[in-house]
Amino acid sequence: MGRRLLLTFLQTLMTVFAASIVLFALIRLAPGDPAKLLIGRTMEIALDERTYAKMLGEMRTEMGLTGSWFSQYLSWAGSLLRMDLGTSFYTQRAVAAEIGERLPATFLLAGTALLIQVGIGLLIGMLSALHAGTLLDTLVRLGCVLLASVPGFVIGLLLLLALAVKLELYAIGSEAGLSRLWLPALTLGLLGAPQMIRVVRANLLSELGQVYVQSALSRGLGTRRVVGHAMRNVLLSTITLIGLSLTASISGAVVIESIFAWPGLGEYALNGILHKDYPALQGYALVTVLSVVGIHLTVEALYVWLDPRITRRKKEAAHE
Amino acid sequence: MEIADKRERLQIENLEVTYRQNDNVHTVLDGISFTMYEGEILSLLGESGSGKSTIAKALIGLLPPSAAIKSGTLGLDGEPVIFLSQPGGAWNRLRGRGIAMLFQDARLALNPVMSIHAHFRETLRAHRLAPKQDPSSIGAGWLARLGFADPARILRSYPHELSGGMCQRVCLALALCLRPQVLIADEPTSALDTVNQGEVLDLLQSLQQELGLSVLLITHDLNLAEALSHRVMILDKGRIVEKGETARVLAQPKHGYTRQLLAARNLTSLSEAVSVSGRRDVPLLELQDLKQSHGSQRRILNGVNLRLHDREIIGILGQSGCGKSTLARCIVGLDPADAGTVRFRGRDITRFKGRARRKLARHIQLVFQDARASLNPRRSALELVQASLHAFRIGSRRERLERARFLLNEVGIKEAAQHRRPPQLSTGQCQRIAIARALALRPEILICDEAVSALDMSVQAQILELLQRLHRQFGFSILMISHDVRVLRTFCHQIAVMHEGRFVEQLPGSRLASGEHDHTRLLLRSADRLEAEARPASARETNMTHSSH
Repeated sequence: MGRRLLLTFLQTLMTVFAASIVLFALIRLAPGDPAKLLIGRTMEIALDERTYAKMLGEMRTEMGLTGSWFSQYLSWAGSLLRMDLGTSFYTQRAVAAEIGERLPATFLLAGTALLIQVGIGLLIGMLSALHAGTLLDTLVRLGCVLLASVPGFVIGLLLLLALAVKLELYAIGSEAGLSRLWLPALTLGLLGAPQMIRVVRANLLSELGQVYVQSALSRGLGTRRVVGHAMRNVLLSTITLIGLSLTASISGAVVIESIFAWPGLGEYALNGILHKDYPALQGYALVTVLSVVGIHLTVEALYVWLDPRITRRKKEAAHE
Repeated sequence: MEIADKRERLQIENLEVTYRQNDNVHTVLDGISFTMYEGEILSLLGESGSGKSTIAKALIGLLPPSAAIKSGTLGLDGEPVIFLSQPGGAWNRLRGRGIAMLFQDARLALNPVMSIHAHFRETLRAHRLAPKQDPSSIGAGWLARLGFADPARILRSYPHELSGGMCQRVCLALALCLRPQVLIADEPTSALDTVNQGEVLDLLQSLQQELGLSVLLITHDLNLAEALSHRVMILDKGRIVEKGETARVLAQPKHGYTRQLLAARNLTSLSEAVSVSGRRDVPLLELQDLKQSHGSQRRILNGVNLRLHDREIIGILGQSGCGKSTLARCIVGLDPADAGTVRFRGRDITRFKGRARRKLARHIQLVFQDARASLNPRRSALELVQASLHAFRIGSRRERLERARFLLNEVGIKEAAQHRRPPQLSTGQCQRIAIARALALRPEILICDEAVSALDMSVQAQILELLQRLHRQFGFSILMISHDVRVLRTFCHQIAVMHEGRFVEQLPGSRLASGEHDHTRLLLRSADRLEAEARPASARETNMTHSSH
């Protein structure tokens, strides 16, 4: 067990290391010069060529963009080990502190959205499976296709239009807080729901066809109990999807966060891209990588914990 | 065996069931009526597709939605008569306490994420039989009656930690703890090897007598029915064609179909006629000290040695879990061997990988137990056979088609069936296609891993005969892996008995009975017991000719 744990830890470390190199390189491969952006177009026009070039050089040195990529990476990775994500080009504040301020908001949004998604998915998926082939089932499936084929920002804007502008149930301009959470969470939850509904429906249908279900019925167990038995197996196979959805919400909340002006990481990343703010982008990407890896590890651990077939190794010989 | 004065326990009158498939409605059961008495075992015999399982499911209300009960009544002792054609919850009263059921594959009949204790708890609670705090004492009591030495440990276990035989005994305990009046046992032992089979059947029989239980035993195995049951019913195409005292029906079958079934059971020594010729010094396949452990502590293969010559048929006999299938997988490289060598015509192929391994597929082919699962359900029979030719770029498109047609004809898949896909074909037909596919590349060795175990007796006989004919015709060697002594005894030149990952004995097929090793004797005893018990009861028809279909 100890060996396996160590192995997992090393694998995780390798993944994070590899991801950090890729994200570092990708950010620098994108066109545009952050130093130029920061000095601004006005200066470029106003100053003569030599003064401008000198100013640019000084700016680059100050921003740490002069050496090779390799040396830049080394110095970034070195400060990473000291838990230092660098200083934002744009705001001149510590990236770690800025991300720290925004991370809870994103996690809160993603977590609430996940709860909504899982709730809708289990409930509707179960109903749909238990009434497979009926009108209800058909409507649910139709709804899923519809919801899955409309882009997220359209749904977000429509909800905003309906609930905030027309019905005035939602105050978009107010202070970002718990009262502002439900609509973006609902939007994100709705976006993930169709997939969840379909997986739960399909899995439950296949579980209900299993012999153990017939066997339980033959022993006189009521329908509700038997569906309960089947759902335990369905949940097990749904965990992976839940993990995937959570990573999707965390890394993909950029659009929804900006529509609802939710002060999370998504908005931060968007600003980072606009300003070519290398340290901010690197920090954002690294945090995303870490949370994705963390979620995957948690899913794996949950499996081991919940599935007796993995937890308990075969102890008995085949025959007594 | 006298049952005339016994009380009637269950009465079925005029049961008719139809299935709807696409827009066609066809009748599966037609006018089924029978009575079961207290404390009797009634066998329901018939091939797959005859409607045996439909009767079981109709009696316990588990028919699929595509089925409809057109008419029929069910009268259970002490209960008002139920009109089966009426929808509704008539079953809630009967299921479990009135009528219980035992399924074919017990491993699948238990929920994989629930402990055995949870199974008992749920079952007892559903019938308000257990005091809330402790269902385990009741469970433990029944498990002990079913021969478990340590019931407490079994209660803590999960289904995957138990063997198939143990699971079936647990299922029996679960069914009996509700004290049902009638137990329907649907092929309760066909998924088990012979040793476990005997164990489960012994328990079923003794507990049935003890509890005065009526058992409806559904089986395709005549020997089983003969050994256990007081009366038999023969089912053919949804009708009961014959019923009566077991000994009478099997000794003097009145109906033609019954005679057919009886004929199929005697797989008389088909292989005696085949002579081994052209034996060379270099064996076709040679295994030396083969070891495999699947990365775990326990060795699955523990030093296997074997020589297979040209045109030879060697049987590998062993219980489930002894490593038979792993051996097959090692030979073709599906599982890598840890140590030892596999030689094909003297060449060491143990570590062949990639392209070299792929080329070997032309020489060694494998036929699996579950024919249906081994065929792509979306391809027709013709496409399936052509695919393996296509994979090795053999012949032109037309030649491939012709060869596939020829082979399918050879294995008895006629023109009309050649365009069907596996879901539309019977299991026996699927296995024929699998054999045709394996032979398409003209292999020198055919490995059959329990290739007939999942088939009905009569189909089994047909497939074995087919293999034999093809063997004569094409002259390949066969490695026949099975747990069934009857299959191997009649079919193989040599039989190697496998136990705990090694061969304990190797004998000519005809002299298997003179095996000396303890394990050989154990296998022979458990296989022979059913036949031996049955033999005095009826004169056997021997040496029936087989239709070469």
